[in-house]
This record gives sequence, structure tokens and C-alpha cells, in this order.
Amino acid sequence: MTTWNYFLLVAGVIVAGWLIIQEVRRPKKGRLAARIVVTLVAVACLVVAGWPLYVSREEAPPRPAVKAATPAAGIVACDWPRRLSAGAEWQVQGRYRNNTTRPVILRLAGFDTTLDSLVIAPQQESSFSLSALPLHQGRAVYRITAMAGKDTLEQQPLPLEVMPVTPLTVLFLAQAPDFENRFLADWLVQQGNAVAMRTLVAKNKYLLRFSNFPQQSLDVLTPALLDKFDVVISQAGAIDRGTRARLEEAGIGLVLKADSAGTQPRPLQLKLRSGRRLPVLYTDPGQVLPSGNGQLPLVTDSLHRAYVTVSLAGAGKLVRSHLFNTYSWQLEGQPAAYGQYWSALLEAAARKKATVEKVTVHPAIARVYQPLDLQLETAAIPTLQAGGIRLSLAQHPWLPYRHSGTWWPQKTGWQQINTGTSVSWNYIFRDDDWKNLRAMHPSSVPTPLRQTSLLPLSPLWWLMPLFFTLIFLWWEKKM
Amino acid sequence: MNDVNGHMKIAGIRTRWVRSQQLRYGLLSIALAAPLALFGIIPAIAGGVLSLFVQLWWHKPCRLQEEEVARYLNQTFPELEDSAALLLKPAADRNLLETLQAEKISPVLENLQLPGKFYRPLRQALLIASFMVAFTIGWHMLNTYLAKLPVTTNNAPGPATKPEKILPGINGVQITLQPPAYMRRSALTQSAFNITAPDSSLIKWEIHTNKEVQELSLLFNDSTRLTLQPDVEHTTWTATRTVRKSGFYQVSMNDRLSELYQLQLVPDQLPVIRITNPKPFTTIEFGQSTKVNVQAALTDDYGIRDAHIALTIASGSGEAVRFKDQELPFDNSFSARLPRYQVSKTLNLTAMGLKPGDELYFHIRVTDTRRQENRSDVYIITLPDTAQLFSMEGMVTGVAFKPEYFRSQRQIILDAEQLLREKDSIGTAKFNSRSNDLGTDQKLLRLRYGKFLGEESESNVGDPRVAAEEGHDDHDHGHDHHGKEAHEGVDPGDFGNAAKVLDEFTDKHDNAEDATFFDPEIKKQLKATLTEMWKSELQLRLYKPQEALPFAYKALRLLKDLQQQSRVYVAKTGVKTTPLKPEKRLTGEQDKIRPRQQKETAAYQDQLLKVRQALAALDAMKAGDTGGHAAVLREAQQLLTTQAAATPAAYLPALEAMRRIQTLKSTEKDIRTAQRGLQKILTAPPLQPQRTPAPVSPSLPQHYFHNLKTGTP
Repeated sequence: MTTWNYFLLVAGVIVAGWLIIQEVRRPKKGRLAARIVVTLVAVACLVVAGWPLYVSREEAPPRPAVKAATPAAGIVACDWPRRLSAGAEWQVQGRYRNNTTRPVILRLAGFDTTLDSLVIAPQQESSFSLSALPLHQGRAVYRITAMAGKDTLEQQPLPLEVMPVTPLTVLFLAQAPDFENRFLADWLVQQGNAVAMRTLVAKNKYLLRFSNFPQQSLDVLTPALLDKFDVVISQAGAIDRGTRARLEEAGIGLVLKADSAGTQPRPLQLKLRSGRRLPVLYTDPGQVLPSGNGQLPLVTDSLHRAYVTVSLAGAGKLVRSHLFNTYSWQLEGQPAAYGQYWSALLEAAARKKATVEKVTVHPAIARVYQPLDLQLETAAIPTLQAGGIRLSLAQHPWLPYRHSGTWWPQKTGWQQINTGTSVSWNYIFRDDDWKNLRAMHPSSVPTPLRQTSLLPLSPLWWLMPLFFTLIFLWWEKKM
Repeated sequence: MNDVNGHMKIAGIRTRWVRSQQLRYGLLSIALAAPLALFGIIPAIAGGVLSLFVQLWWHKPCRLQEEEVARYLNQTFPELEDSAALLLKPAADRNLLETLQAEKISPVLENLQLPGKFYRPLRQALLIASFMVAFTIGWHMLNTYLAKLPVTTNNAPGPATKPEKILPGINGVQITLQPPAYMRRSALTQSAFNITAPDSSLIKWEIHTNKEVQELSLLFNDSTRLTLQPDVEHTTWTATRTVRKSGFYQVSMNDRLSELYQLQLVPDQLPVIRITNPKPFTTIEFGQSTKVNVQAALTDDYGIRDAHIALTIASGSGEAVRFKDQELPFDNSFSARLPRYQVSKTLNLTAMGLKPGDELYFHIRVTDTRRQENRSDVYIITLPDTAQLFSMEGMVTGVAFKPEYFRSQRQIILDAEQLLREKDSIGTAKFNSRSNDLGTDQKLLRLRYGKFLGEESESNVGDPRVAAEEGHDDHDHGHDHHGKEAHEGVDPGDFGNAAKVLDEFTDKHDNAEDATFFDPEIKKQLKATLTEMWKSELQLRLYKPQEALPFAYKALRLLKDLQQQSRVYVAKTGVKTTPLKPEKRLTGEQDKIRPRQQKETAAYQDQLLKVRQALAALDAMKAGDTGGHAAVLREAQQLLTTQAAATPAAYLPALEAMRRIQTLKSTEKDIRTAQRGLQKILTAPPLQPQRTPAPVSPSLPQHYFHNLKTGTP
């Protein structure tokens, strides 16, 4: 409801109240009830006429070319990240079609512990999103279970591999010592990341800090030195144009903080791009950044004003920030919010991890005794072993670094895929896992979406009854 | 005949009115009784009956006169022609005209319909009563509904519910838990091996075996062994031990080990202190009583041994501050060692040697019967130094903020004290008159401050003409600009100027513009000051200068604060700065500046990493993969053992399951149990920023970017 709607509602109630009082006080008491009812109808019509109302009109969908198979019930679509770094939130999303007359509880469980659950109303198809913070490290199989009362309708495995975290290397450039940099560096170092910090304290004199990083001179930022870092966090005045060009060339992320924080801080409720709410922070709402036009807002307030944005800058990313006092979250005892904020920022900015080779698997739900396409991208000599079987690879005709082969898995469960240099794991499902997903696949030929458009309703529809009521009131007075 | 009818009709209306009023009071009483019914039936009946009687006694509906009814009818029905009272007159007493009139209106009265308004009070009462009854029933139903809501309980299967596995050959066990003597609890006896006992209990095991056993002992988690002593038949074995740490134990019979049994100790909590009086920060104004009553509630789970109040007196100021420590016992006796005491102690600050300007810090120390000591927060009592208020510092320098006003309040205090000193020598009449004069001064001061708040100024205070007429010496003469202007502005040309005359002789009420001089915070304090001045004036007018002094002092202190607050200017200093030499700016020698180079290495190690890996390893074992996890599982088991020693109730089943898994004699149920136990140890790992993987090195996007930069295809 917008302010206008509230205003209309309040004004309508006041007018109706006043009119009813007038009616009651009127000496002529005949047809009092009728007059009150008609007055109410008149006021309601007036309010509704001002209310922006819409009607949804369904446009006839184009007739599907192929008749889809009978729709399956249960989990008809589901996806989840197969690999996750430790500490990150894991989300399982999909659609559930409930054909039964009972509500169905979807439950995400790991190691016999329910982590998240959700209720699907009877006779409804709706999407679901379950989330959890995985506790284990390595490979494990979680389960998603659909329960109706005490009956288990469906249980499906959700394989997940939690990877150990790899530390970041961060360079701080500052024109003056401040709390923001210090708290951030401490937080990063505490988690094993490498930090180098250069803070100007006098003309050409720098305060240096090297944490988990070899001590060296930071006076001149050579390309070779910059190449050791993943992210540079700097004030706008502490970095020169040449350095920025070198960062863009090398694809190193830059977090650029504005020089001024504004003069009129107010408590603001900020929100991350993922939708997570952050605690209140004192910031000047006048100091907002332009978004759109290549600038993606990362942190916004309730009015969608952007305080942190990210944009492409050469091969790297440029994050602009107008928040200078996020360390107050640490002091307030909100380290979780602090961690989420800076993880989001640094992840958006950080240079991408160079990979030597990459194995992709198609289809995503790999079943036993079913062909599985493996694709290997590597610059080296390609060798691929899956489940102990050496695969013969075919090179892509146009992309010389891409090779593909077919594998028929013999066993279910986690299976090893060996390339020349690394080992990765892929989960092979049993033949009867995720049956509904497979049933959906042939019918995944473009199912035309139902087109509904919202048309604003003409206020004339409400003015007509209004006129009738007014005519009645007038006529009654003349009688 | 008509007369009789008319009279009866009026009497009937009267009865109807009386009935309706009685019914109305009954309904109102029900309305009152309904909510009271929530507290019980007795208050409802008592309240209802009481209110009914009170209403009947107050309104006395039965006393309604028939003349009143006639008057009512006359007022309501014009057709009665104001003659209803005639019908009440006996026919014999009426004169001719009255008889005729009575005959005329009798039929009208006969056909009279009482209006709806007549029953309106009754209808309202009915509405109120039904609303209250409905409200009460609704409230009651809501309450019962809320009470019926299922309490969410932890539905995890507790290990306590699981039946214990006992070694074959053991017939039964009798465990006696003797809590330590200071708890003064009786011994408990149980026949289960899992023990939950108060801290430092003496535990006696008495194990009965069904046949002769060579050796029976208890193995504790700290790898100590307690050998049980047999009786002559070697079937009843006993041992005792005082347990001071939680943990678990096993029964070993002829080298056969039982499962693990928990040994959970319930610790003795620290005593709790709740101070109810005084407040954490107390300021005792000059003239108030210097006796402070300290009241506190002390509670402990077993008993309180002793309690003291520890005082620290801080006297002096600045560097010359001195501290004096003192410890006082409470008036109560703690010999009964009760778990709950209500203690109090009166501190006589004067007797303890506290002077104005001193501060007293105190806290309460309580020892329980286990000799565990706990102390409360520190409470502070301040005696403000009134001498500070008289200092002229801050007023003579800089821009003064109307200093005269403050001096006046100070003068009143000084005069009042002088008056008190001279009381014996000047006689009552003089004393009273001087006290009254002081009261007048106080009033003038109050009115002057009231002006700042935009208050109406009565009796033209500050107007010099009035002051002159009254013969009152206004010592703040020069400061009232308004008065001055009025005095100078006597111009013969103004004679007959209506606006001027009106301006002089009308009572100008609260001036809104005056009310905007200060911000609300200052005004609030000003108001508080005025209140104190009022009280001071009251006491002075009652010839009680002694009682007036505390209020006067408080007013002075508030004024002083006000003066400090609204100071905008910095005190004048006679400093002359040397002129800047622009050519020398930014040319300082910096070669001595050697900024610090901080260097550190902090290796991050997840303490629970092995447990996390063990969780995944167990998952692999569930799927059938058993090889290569031994090291991880062993380390996880160590962590689990330390956890189980601290809280055996939670982790003991998982530890047992882990042990079976290690010996490869496990079932899937054991793996589940172990995973549950490991999960309890784990917390979510900290969130860390991660780099996203890039496409493999010579990829299409990289080619594209490179060619875009160089501009060559």
C-alpha cells in the first residue's frame, strides 16, 4: 500500500464518519438506515475510484506444439550447488507439485538432523527454497524429504562437497590511518588471509603492515608486486591513475572508498544484494552512488539508494563504497553482519581464481548405467580417468582447449574423476533417484508461460454507482 | 373516576421508572462484576453486591416523588398543557377551573405512550453489561486457549529414557548419593548406574552379583580405577568416592567392561544479590537526611553463610583525593544459614565522617555455605559540595549570561542562613517578617525566570514605576530593558494614543515570542528550577527558612548547570599568535620520522576441522566405504571424549558409538548416533570471502578482452 492509498483510506473513513454523524443528527429520521447505507456506498465508491485498481487479463497462450506428458507430482524441479566453500550458506531450490489433499512438509536434513523445512499447501504447485549452513568438510549426502503427515512421499539425495577455503591476499592503500582499515585487516588476518597495508603518515613516509605476507617495499607499486594481490582496498586519493590501469589490465579487483563520508549521518537500515538485512549503520543518505548503467548496487537502503556498487573495470571489478564505519558492527558485537558485508564486497571485487583445468558433467543428475558426457578444458595434454576407466577424448573442432568424452558409470555414490593433475568427485545417482525430474525433462520443450497482463480499471465503473447513490440522497431530501 | 385513573397512571409511570432504574443499577453491577469474575467468584459477587448497594444508596430511586413524575410528563408532553400535577391533587381540593382542566387532560393522559427516551438509560446499561460480559468471556476463552497451547518441548530422544545395559552377572546396583554436609540434604538412593548428583557428593556403589566374582572395579574417564570391596560371599561389592568433576565411568567385572555410564554433577551456584534500595547513583542534597538505608535480597541455592557491606569513602578532590575502606556487617544474623535473606543496614553518613563533596562507594559481599563469594555492583552515594556553587569562576570571565539572576538566588541562601544564625537574638516578629521578605525576593526571582518561559508576569514585576510605588528596591533595575523603555517613553504627544494606553493597562497574557528564546531542553531545566523556587518560597513564607534551604540549594545548583549548559563562548584569553610564514610551510624535516613496520603471521586453524572431516568420513562409511578414515576418526573421538567428560549426558551415547565404529563392530545406527554427537560439538564455520574460479587459462573471454584492448584481431 502506498502513501496515497493510506491517505485515501483515512480520508474516506473520516468523511464517512462525519457524514454518518450528520445523518444521525438530522431531525428527519425517516429512512435513516437507508440513507446511512447509501452514504457509505457513495463514500466507498469515491475511495475506490481514487484507488489504482487493476484487473488481470489472461491472454490466450499459444497452443503448445507437443502435448506434454501427464504432469508428475512431487519435486518436479530441484537444483543446488554441488560444491561449496566452508562457511557459506547452502541453498536448495526447486518446485513442488502437491496433488494430494494434505499439506506436504518438505524437509532438508543432513546427518539425521533437520536443517530447514517448509510446508506446501494442498493442491498447489509452488517453488521452494531451503537453506542450511553445512557443518562438515568433504563429501556428504544430504536428503530432501517430502512428508504428508507421517507418510514419507519422497526422499531424494542431495550430494554436497564442502571445499576448504583458500585465503585471499589484500593490499590496503590509505592516506591516513583509520579504524575501518584496521578492523578489516584484523578480521582478514584472523581468518588466515594475507594483508599488506600502506598508510601515509608524512610526506613520502608510510606506515606498513605485513600480515601473513613477506615484508617488502611498497613505495612503488610495480606490476609484479600488484600481481601478488587479489584485491586492493584504497581511498580515492591514495591510488594513482597508472596503478588503476595496471589493476584493470591484470584483472585485480579494486575497492574504492570515497574521500568524504558526508556530514549528516542518520541511522539507516541497509540490505545486501542477497536480500540479507544488515544492522543499523550511521551514514549520510545524501552520499549515494548512481546505480544502473553498468553499476550494480551491492548495498542498498530501504529506498533502494545504493551505497556500494560494483562495475566492470577492464578485466577486473571496481567496487565503490560510501560506507566508512562498518567497524561499528564489530564493536556492537555483530561480527556475523560484518563478515557477511565484507565477504559480499570482497567476493564481488576479488580477482578470479586461475584454474588449470576444468571438468564439466552433463547431465547434472548422472545416473548409473546411463551415458554421461564429460568435458575437460585444459591447455595441457588431456587425460581423463573416471571411476577407474580411462576415457578417450575428442577435441572440439573450434576450441582447441576443450575435449569431451562419454562415460558409463558402473557404481552409485561418489566416483572419482582423475585428470592428469587433479582429482574431482562426482556423485552417481541410483536409477530411481529424482524420477520426477526425469519425467519433466522431455516436456521441457518450451511450455508457454501463461501471459497475464494487468490493465488499470477505469474509475468510471465506480462513478456510476456513486451517481446513483447521490441521486437517491437528493431525491430523498426533496421528498 | 377520571381523576383516580389519572393518578394511577402517574403512579404507574413512577413505578415503571423506579423499576427500570433498579434494573439499570443491577445491570451496571453485573458489568462491574463480570471482569472481577476473572479473579474468582468471591470478588465478583462481593464487588457486584457492593456496587449495587452503593448505587441504590446514592441515587435512592425509590424516593422519587409523584410530583417529579408529573413535572417530567409536563415537560415531555406539551399536550398535557402543564397540568399533570392537577391530577395528583385530591378532587375535593380543586377549584372549578382546575376540575375542568383535569377533566380535559385525563383522556390525554390515558392514551399517553411513553417515549423511547424513557428507557434510554436502561438500554445503555444493558449495552455496557452485555459488552463487559462478552469481553470477560472472550478474555477467559483466550486465556484458556493460550494455556492449552502445547508447550514446545525438546523432542530429541534423551539418553535418560534409554534403558541401561548392565553387564550379565550383575544382579542389581544400589547407589547412595550423599551430598556434602553443608548442603544439609538427606542422602538419595537409586538403582541405576547413570548418576546425577550435587557437586562434591560422596557416592557409594553397592553392586550385587548373582555368582561369585573375582574382581570388580569402576573405571573413570580420568583413567583412575576404583576397586570395589567384596563381602565374605563375594557377591556384594561396595566402594565409595567423593566426586568433584563430571565425567563418565565403566564397570569392569573380571576384565569385562560395561558400557559407559554418565556421572553428571550439578554445581552449587553463586549467591545472588539484588539491592532494592538505594539507587545505583544517589545524590543527597544539602539539608536532606544523611541516613541511607541499604536494603538487599540475598539468595542462594543451599544457604548463605555471611554477608558484609564494603564501603569506600573518597574525600578531597583532584590529586588530594583520599580513600578510606571500611567493612560493616548487616544487622541480620546469618547463623541459620537460610537460602534466602532480606537484609538491611542504615548508613549514617555524618557519623562515618562524610563531608560535603565526599563520595561513598559501597558493594555487598556474600559468602555461601560452600564459601563461594559473590559481590554486587558498586553503588555510589554523593554529597555535593555546596561551596562550589558559590564560586564566581566562569562568570567573571568571558561573556556573562545574566549573572545578576544567579547572584540573587545565592543572596537569598546567604540571607536565609544569616537569618537562621540571628534567630535567637532578633525575636519572632522580626524573624517572621524577614523570612517573609526573603520569600518576596524569592518570588520576584521566580517571576523573572518565568519570563524566559513566556509565563505571564503578575504584579508587573520589573516595571520600575510599580516598584517605586511599592517602595521596593529593585536591585536588578538596569537589566530590565522593557521597563526602562517604558520609563523613558513618556511623551506628551502620546496623550490620548489609544494603542499606547491599551498597551500599558491591558494584561498581556503569555507571550509566545518569549517562549521561543531557549531550546526545549533548557526550558525543561528552567521549569524544574522554578518548581524548586516555588517550594523555597513556600517555606520562607511559612517562616521556615531551615526547610527552605534544601530547595533553594537545589534551585541554585540547577541554575548553575543551566549557566554551564548555555555557555556558547569560550573564555577570553589574552593569547597573541605569531604570524604565519607561508614560505616555511610544509618544509619541516621529516628524516627523523620512522613509521613503524608491523609484521605478523597468524595461521588460521579450524579447531574443529577433524570433527568436520569425521562427519564426512562417517557419511562415507554409511554408504559402504570403510577404508582410510581411521586417523580422522581417532582425532574426532579424542575431542568427543573431552566433551563427554564435561557433559556426559549429551555426548556419552555418541562416544560409545564412536568406540564401536573404531572397532569395526558398528551398525548404521551407531554411525547415526556418532554423527548426532559430533554435530552437537560443531558450530558453523566462519564466513570468508572466496574467489570465484576463472575459466581455464587461454579461454575465449580472455582472447576477446585482449583483442579489445590492443585493437588487433
